Amino acid sequence: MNRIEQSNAPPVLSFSDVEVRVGTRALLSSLTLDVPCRGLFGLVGPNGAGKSTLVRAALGLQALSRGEVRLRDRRLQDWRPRELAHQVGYVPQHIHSHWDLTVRELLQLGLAPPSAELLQDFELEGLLARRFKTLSGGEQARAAIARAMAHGPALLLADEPAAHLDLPHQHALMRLLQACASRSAVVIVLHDLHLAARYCDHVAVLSHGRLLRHGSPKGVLDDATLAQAYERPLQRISTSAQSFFTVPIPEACR
Amino acid sequence: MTPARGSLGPALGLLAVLGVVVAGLSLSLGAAWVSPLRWIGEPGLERDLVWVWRAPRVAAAFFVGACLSLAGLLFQGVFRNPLAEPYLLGSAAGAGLGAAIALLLPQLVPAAWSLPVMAFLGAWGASWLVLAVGRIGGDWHSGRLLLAGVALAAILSALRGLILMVFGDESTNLRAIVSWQLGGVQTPTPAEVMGFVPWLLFLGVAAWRLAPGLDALGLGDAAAQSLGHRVPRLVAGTVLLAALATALAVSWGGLIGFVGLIVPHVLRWWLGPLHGPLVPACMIAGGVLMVLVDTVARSSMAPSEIPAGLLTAVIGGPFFLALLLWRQDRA
Amino acid sequence: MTRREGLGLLLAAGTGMAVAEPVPGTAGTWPRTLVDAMQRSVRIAAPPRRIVTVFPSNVEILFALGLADRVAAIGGRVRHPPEAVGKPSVGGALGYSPEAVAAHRPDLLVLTPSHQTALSLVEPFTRAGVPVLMLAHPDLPSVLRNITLVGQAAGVEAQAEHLRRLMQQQLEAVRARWQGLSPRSVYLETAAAERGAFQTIGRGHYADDALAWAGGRNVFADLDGSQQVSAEAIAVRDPEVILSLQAVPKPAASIAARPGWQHLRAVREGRVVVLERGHKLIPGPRQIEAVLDYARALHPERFA
Repeated sequence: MNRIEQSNAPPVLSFSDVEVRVGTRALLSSLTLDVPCRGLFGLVGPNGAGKSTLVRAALGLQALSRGEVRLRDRRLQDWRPRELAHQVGYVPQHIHSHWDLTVRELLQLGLAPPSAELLQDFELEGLLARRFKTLSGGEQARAAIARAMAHGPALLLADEPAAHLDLPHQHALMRLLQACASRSAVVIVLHDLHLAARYCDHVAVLSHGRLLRHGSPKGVLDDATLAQAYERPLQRISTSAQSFFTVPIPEACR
Repeated sequence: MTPARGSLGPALGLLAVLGVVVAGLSLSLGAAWVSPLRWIGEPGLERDLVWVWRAPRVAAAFFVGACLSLAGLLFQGVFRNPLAEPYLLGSAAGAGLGAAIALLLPQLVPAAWSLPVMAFLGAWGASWLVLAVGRIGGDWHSGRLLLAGVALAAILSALRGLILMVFGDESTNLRAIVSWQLGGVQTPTPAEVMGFVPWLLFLGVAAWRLAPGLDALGLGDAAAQSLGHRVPRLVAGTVLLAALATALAVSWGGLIGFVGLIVPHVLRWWLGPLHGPLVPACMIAGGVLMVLVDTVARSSMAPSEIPAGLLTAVIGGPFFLALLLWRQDRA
Repeated sequence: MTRREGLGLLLAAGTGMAVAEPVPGTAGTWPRTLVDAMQRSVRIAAPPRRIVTVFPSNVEILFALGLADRVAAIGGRVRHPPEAVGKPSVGGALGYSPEAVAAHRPDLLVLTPSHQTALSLVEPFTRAGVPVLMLAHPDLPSVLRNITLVGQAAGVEAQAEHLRRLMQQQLEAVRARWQGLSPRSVYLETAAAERGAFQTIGRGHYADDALAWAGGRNVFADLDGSQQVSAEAIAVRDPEVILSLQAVPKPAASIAARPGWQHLRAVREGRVVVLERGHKLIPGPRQIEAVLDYARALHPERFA
């Protein structure tokens, strides 16, 4: 497994003391985080931790109560929407197209026409004439990510892209995202800790809108941090090749 | 195996040919048949019928159909709903109210503000009202606009009904109002016909420029925003453009339904859902369809005239159902 | 007690009261049975004293026969005669409320079976034993017959006969004045929406008949009742005279300005006349005035 070295280049995305408050609820508080310009960056945490909010804030879709977000060292509000769009690619959580597009038409919606290389990498050549709705979950995810990557953005944001895929497809997708991560920064929201542990170069754990820890998966995803984040005991079992996460069976039920 | 998409070039060619044929029919049919050979010849009733009475009306019918289809396409795109149609945001109700005031309270309306102008103001004004009501914190969202539109339509319809009841009686223009509401193409002067062209160009170009944004909207608001589109502005701009097209259509053709619903739908099946190619295709197809409807309206029961809106409802409905069933079989 | 029973009781009490004193000026035997315009036989027990009627035409007939003080209530938007305007109303364009009608304890209803909801009154009142007289007016002779019918129903045959004969004489006087001239072809526009939705009438409408009496030949006489026609149909039939009925009359030039209409014979020869709608579309005694107005427009040389 290749781990991309932390380069000394400036972070592509940085959050400084960001707070997002809606009514009395704080969706994000005191969030300070830097996303390196290469590598696969995973956001993990329980439901309602603020992961999706963080992604929306990165896109400029979420108003901040405090703090600022910088993309390539420029504040988000200083970017014009068109320029921002060229820097960022976004794959929403529920990948759907309201209209009955073919894959070719979906790719036409990207900011640049897809190159032959892109089609090859994402294995979409044979699918171009197919209707998007008829594709399998894995194929749809590939097509959506291809659409977002077509213009070569500096940052790809994907909200739980592997959520509805079966096991082999999840891993195939993660490998694909790793490949993308060699060219851009890729930030993905993940529920599956196994995928985070195995594929991410960098992981941030959120809970209740706060950043608990961030760093390498090995260092961050330990029992104590996980227990604090998920508010219940979680166990990590590591072998040399991979890690497994489980909720320990209570004594009474053994 | 899903059928392949038609491409724009041949489609436009086919529509153009169809248009010429239908226009030819339209100029020949009516209260009396005038064969194309007699169109150019000695001056007389027959030549007058074709060029003085029918040609302007054919032009107006094309204009009305093009505007309605374009409005339907834009509303379907911005609300991401294939059932959206031009009267969705209270345009019909506003136009009806304007028409009722023009016809029942002529003393209130200056002579220059005739029926078409009042209908236009009603339709256009209703849309502005909806946009004003449908804002949340300076932004427009489809859901809220829809609600505001439905509520406004109800209010305006009620107002119109009230005016009809209070000011209408056996000796006033009730029949004219009912007929206008059922839709029918009005006859423009030659100067007004010339005025249609810049309108169509403006509407077409403006819609074509909105097309990429509408395509992106189909992926969801967040995805569209991430592609660089300012979604609230896009929504408001599209609604205004569609409302303008609707108001123009209504001022020349009364309330004609179905055309704005069906034409974009059918063309989407044929050419695919990308809005760029659909803009010119919808405008031409809608125009041609309306010319056909108007021809039937004034020639099938001559000398009587069937309100065009009645025709589109009576024929459009079953036709659309048949089309749906046919597609069901093929899918 | 059900609503209908209550209604019936109310009405029975009313009619009971009517029989008590004789009504001055009513001739003939009571009770009597008539056949109304819908071929219904209507039985009237005694000279009605509280007549409820709906529609301006019926109101005008009743008042023209001197029955003003025997009309309890009226319905519809009535502006003529002035004495009628003050009468209590039982409804208008919103419909006619059977309860409002019943509150006046009518002993005769005079109605016209048109699109309005007057028809909803027929059933309950017939069942309650109140005579309902239905009048229809497909042509001018029926209007005259209606006057006779109402006269019979109210027991004022003499006044009815007098009025009917007067109207007949006036009609014939009008015809005599244009005698010798051939009828002028005419297009009568009852309503229009600026550039389209032209409404006219054909055979089976009393206005068609009125035009004939006035020396006109309706170019759309082949149509039935009220119809919408296209502009080119008017062009094909090219009437000599165009009569436009408008509630608030606009100058004739506005019709001449309609696109294409400058080619019409009537426009070229200056024979476009705009008339006030008012009484023209009320099939009552004032149809005579309507006929006169039409005649003046059709044959101005004979009707200075």
